[in-house]
Parts: sequence; structure tokens; C-alpha cells
Amino acid sequence: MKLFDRDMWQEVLVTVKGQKVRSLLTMFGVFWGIFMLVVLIGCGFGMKKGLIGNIMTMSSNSIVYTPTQTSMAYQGLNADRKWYIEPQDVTAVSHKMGSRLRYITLANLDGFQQISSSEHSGYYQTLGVTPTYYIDIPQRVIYGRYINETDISERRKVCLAGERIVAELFDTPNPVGKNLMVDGNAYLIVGVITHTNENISLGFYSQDCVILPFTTEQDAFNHRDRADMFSVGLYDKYDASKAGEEIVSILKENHRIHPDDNAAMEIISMVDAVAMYGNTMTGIEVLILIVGLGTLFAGLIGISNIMLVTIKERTKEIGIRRALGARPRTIIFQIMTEALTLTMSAGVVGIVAGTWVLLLLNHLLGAESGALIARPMIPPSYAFGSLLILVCGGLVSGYVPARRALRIKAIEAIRDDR
Amino acid sequence: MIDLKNIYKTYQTASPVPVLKGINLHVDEGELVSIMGASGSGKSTMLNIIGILDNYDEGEYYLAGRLIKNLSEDDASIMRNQLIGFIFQSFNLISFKNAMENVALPLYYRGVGREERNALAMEYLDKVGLKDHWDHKPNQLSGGQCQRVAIARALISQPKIILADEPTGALDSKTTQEVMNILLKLNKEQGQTIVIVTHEQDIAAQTPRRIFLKDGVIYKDER
Repeated sequence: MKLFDRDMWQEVLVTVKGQKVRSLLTMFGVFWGIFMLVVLIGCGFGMKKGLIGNIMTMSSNSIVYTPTQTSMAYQGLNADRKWYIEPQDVTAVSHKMGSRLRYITLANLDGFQQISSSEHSGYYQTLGVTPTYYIDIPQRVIYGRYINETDISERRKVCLAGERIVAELFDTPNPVGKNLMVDGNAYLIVGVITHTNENISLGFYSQDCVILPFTTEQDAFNHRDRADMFSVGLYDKYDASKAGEEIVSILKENHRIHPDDNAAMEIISMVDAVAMYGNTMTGIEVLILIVGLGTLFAGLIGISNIMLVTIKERTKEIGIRRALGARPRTIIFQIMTEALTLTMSAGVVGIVAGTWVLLLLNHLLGAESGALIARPMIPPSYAFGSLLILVCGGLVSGYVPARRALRIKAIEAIRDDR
Repeated sequence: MIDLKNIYKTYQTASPVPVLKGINLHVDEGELVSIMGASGSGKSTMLNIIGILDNYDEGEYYLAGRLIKNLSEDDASIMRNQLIGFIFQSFNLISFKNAMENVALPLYYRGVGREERNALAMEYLDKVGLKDHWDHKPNQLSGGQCQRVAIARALISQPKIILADEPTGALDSKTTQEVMNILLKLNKEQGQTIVIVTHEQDIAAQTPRRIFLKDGVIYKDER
């Protein structure tokens, strides 16, 4: 039996075309199954993206330490003493973490400063950061670029402006190349930035901030050799939360803080924050799986039903073909080929239509940020995997009744209607 | 051509029903035979055995010199395709194929190319006077026309025998005669061996040889 026998395909085509209602019904079953699957799974993924935001760009394996005031007297020093991160802390932590260390971010927070463009002005959160701050929290550069190492080493007078600030101070959404006045000094805007998941933050959002290079900020605000905040990011194979105790004891030792003084610093674990979100993510994934498998199962049942009815209806035709000399395997092969042709073509149409609906949805949702569903899309492997399962299911469910139909004697099949 | 030797057949149901109890029949090449009998006499079963559509329990059946016994489904299909042309009471055309495609179908299963088999189908449609209706579907044809298409389909594979199972059972008297005339002419002019199963006296009367079945045995063989 040749697969590319033109005659066989002609025969299949004539049969498929000759039975328009039946063919359309089968095709609609497959089409609907795949279409619903694509749309539902696409929306599920969109929901995941909507809730999680652009968390994927985060290192998510870091811990942020913010010195506050000591609460206990220790080694002859009073309580309520203010302290800062100093260069010796960075050196000691780097040494202790050794090969586990991926990066250390330093940041200074300057509270609300007067910020103005040539047209407008307002008070906004200002901070100075090193480049790796970009992966400490979920944020995204919309225009231009982020702070880089050259900005740091050359102490450039550049800045990033938050998306909301740009909206309030400029007429254009892209002010890259223009100047921004911060506390009376001009800084060249090199990028526009926004937060991508407001559920994970250090208490303020990137779209509301003006961000300066860390060294530039130190000069401008006279913050030499100190940082208000630092984060330690480790390589993914080491758990940053486990290294927490080691880092805390270095800091306490360096700054003569009582070992039991837990109020002397604020510790925000990105590992924990993301882990909490990881649970949500897992929940959504399970939901997608249940919905997807349910739809797939319903589609399979639909297809097997139609195949069953089809074969039952064709018992007489099969009988006639056998009386005229068709071999059993010729008949099975033809029925399978017909089923395959119908289900495959309907399935591909279903995938295309489903994807089209998702694109339309994407287009409609595109303008709004923070929507429940963002960028709904189904991975091609899911779509074609499901199609494969549906088609195989259709073939198996066609094969079983076809075999049974062949076991009926040709003459009984022919006399079906008497 | 057809040689049945002491054929026994019992239907294995809860209480086994013996249908054929020792059938002996010899039909020569070029004969036109009718088989008659009341329902339950075993005539349909006998036709099925002759048509290799059913097995038998005991005895021997030779068709065109070949022993037909315990054939695999594949071999039975090939034998049917090469040796036998069927004509049924309810025509049994495939409803979604046109007249030409229906006639050409046996050749498809023989592996004949599409153009060649369609050309041949037109030839055989012409023989039964339906060349102009080649693209009609069965539901666009009258009963008589359907049966003529079925006859063309039975003839196209140039079978050794034609088996007709109540070929006029669904037709009125005028059309019945038309169909009979075609079968008679086939037998007379081309020496086609034909076996007709019927319960109509008029039909049987037109055949040179009549076989009567009763309770699973041949009780009369008239010439």
C-alpha cells in the first residue's frame, strides 16, 4: 500500500467530498476542540504573564539589606545609633561569599527631590544605584538604556526617568537626550524605566523614580563611602536566603551591633518574595493543565463519537466494497487516511483560528498595563502536541469500530437495510 | 464452472441451525441457472457460499477449477474481485459516487489506473444504455437504471460468473423484464455464466435451468 498513490487520494477525496455533512461534522469536532484548547491555554498563559509581570528578568536570588538604627547598646556604643553600608562591608561580604557571589548592588535613597524639565516640575523619589539594581527588582527599560559601568566609573551626569515622571514632565513619552534638573543640577536622560510587577518591590516603583549612577549620586548628595542599601545576589545554584545569616553576622561585627539586635537592619528577601509568587504561578499552571486536559479530553470524546457513528453508518458501504473485492487492510487504510485528512486539516484550521483570536485579544488588551491577562499566547509545542493527541485519538477510535465493522460478514453488512 | 460437492453449513447460534444439508450442484460454463426456494430454504446461504461471502462446514467447492475452502480474508477478496460479479436486490451502489465511479470501483481494487478504469466504465455504461447518465448519483436514477448500473459494475471485471440475488425484487414488472432481457442477452451472446436467486416464478421460467431448494437440500433440478 503506497501512501502517495494518486488513486488512493482520489478515492479519499471523492469519499470525503461525497459525504459533506459527515465530513463537516467530523471536522467541526476537531476544529472546535483545538480552537477552544488554543484559546483557553493562551488565556491561561496570558493570565500567568499578567499576574507575574516581567518577573523573568529578575535574578530573584538576592537579599536586600537596609541599615536602620541600632536598638541595643553594645560594646560601649549607645542604642539608636544610625549606621550605613561601607566599603569594608562590600569587601568582607565579597570575600566570604567567594565563588557563590554573582553581584553586589549598592544604592542610596535620597527621598523626594525637586525634579524639573524645561516645562514642568515636581517632587519625586530619587536614588543612586549600581547597574545590577536592574535585576534586583522587576523593571524594564522602555526607551534608551539602563545605568552602565562607564556611568559609574566616569561619574557621568546621566539619569533614568520613571515612566510616570516622563508623563507628567514631558510632552513626549521618549525624552531620551533631553535634560532633567535634579536638585538644581542638570542630568542627561539616557533611558525611561517602569516597574513590571508591582507585587514585588522595595516600597517604591521604578516608574515613580529618578535613577542616577551610584557614584554620581554620591558626589551630588555628598554621600561618599556610604550606601543606604545593598543587595547580595548569588548564582542560582546557591540559595541566597541560606547565606543570609553569614552576611548579617559580618555586618553586625563590622558595625559593632549586638548579635541579638534584629531591628538594626531591614532585610527583604527577593527569594521569599518570588517564592510566594512561585506558588501563584504553580497554581495557574495547574489550572492551565486541568483546563487544557479537560478540553483535550472533551475533544477526544467528540472525535471518537463521530468516528464511531461514521463507521456504523458506513457498515453497508464497507460491505459493498468488500463484495467488490476490497481487501480488509485496504479498507482500514482508506478509512484511516480519510480520518487523518479530515482531522489534520480541521486541526490546523483550528490552531490558526485560535491563534488569530489570541492575537485579536492581544491587540485589544495591548494598551492596558496591569490587566489580568497580558500577551495571551500558546506555545507552538502545546498547540501541535494537542493536535497530535487529538489526531491519534481519532485514529484509534476510528480503527476499533472499523475492525469491528470488517468482522461483520460482507453479506450481512449489505443487507443491513432489509 | 461451479462445482459444489456435499456442502454442509450450520449456523452456530444458541441452538445450532443446519441450513445446508449436503448440496451437490454442477454448473457448466455458459449456463444460466435460477435457484428457487421459500425463505429459509437455504438459497441465500448457498449464494453466499458460491459468492465466497460465507464459509461452509463440510464438503468441497470448486470455482473455475480452484478449490475455495478456508480462504483468508485477503485471498477471498482477490477471488471475489477476479471471478465474481454481484448483482443485489437493493442495487447496493455507493450513494455518494456517480454512475461511472460506481461502475469503475471493482477495477480500483484491482489496481487499474483511474483514466483507464473510467474509460472502461463508460464503455460498460454504454452497454447497458446509460452512457448519458454517467455523472448521475444513484438517487438521481430510477430503480431500473440503478440496477443497470449495478449490472455494468458486475460486468466490468469480466468475471467468470455473475451472481444475482433477487435482481428484480425491487422493480416493477416492466423494468423487471428490461433487466431480465439484459441478463438473457449477456448469457446468449457472450456465453456469460449467470446464477439468479429468485422467488418469482416468471423470472425462473425464463432461465434454461431451474434448481429448487427445500430444507437445505436440492429437491428438483429442471432443464
